[in-house]
Amino acid sequence: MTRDDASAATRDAEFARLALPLLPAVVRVARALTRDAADADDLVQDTFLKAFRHWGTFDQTGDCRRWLSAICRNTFFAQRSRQRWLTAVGDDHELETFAAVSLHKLAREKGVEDMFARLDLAPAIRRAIAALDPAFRDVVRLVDVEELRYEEAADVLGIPIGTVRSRLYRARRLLQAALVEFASDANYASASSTVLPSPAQGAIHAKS
Amino acid sequence: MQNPDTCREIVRQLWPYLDGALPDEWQARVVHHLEECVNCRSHYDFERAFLEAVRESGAIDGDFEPVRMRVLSALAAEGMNVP
Repeated sequence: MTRDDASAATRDAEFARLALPLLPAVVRVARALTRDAADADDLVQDTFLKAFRHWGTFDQTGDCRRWLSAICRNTFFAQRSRQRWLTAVGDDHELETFAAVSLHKLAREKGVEDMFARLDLAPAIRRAIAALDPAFRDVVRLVDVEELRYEEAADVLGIPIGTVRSRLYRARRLLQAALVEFASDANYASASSTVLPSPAQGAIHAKS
Repeated sequence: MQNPDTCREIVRQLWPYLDGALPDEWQARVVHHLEECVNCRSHYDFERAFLEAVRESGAIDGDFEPVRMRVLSALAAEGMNVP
């Protein structure tokens, strides 16, 4: 084996170990950027090809997910006009945080305060997220599901951190409102157990 | 009895606190307040449970295998010895 062969084998092994397992994370970032499954797949492929070609520039003590996200974002914005994504949303942080308190109070009044502990709400949460406006859905997916920091999500989406916060808090309030309504409609109460009927969506299940 | 103004101030910081986005000084203030205030602690517990439920919902979906195969194929064409 030549030195070049050994070097290529090392590169391939490192890339397979550090970069490839992050494919789902890159897919999520790409979906948030493109909002289109086919475009997202193209972007994911371009991202991994660029990452592979430039693997030598990656500092392996660094955060590979963030590096791949940056490549994904830069590739996307190099291909499209950035301007259309810069939709401003006002910073109503205070309004949203106190609205959340009101929702907590409403949940308590309706007897569903402990719905998160008692019920498997995952299907309802997925539906509620899917129903969000795309601008809000993107930040929820990146911050709450993918666990990106505010500044990372801002980098990915090309929007200010304040806008990430505003959209995130608004989205959380909308999700909570949907879940409180869902649990209430299912006639869930703290004393309930086992399987409960859901008006439109089959059934929700008590956590074991 | 907690000062309502303090509670308002703390509640305003709860989401950044849960997201690990608060400066150290604020972090300590929130922790201290939550240890003492039953109402704010209850609200914190509700919000934390909500965020955990969202995270665990895996809210994105889907089968990653087709795009994974496509990426691996492109990388192989690029010269990578794919696993």
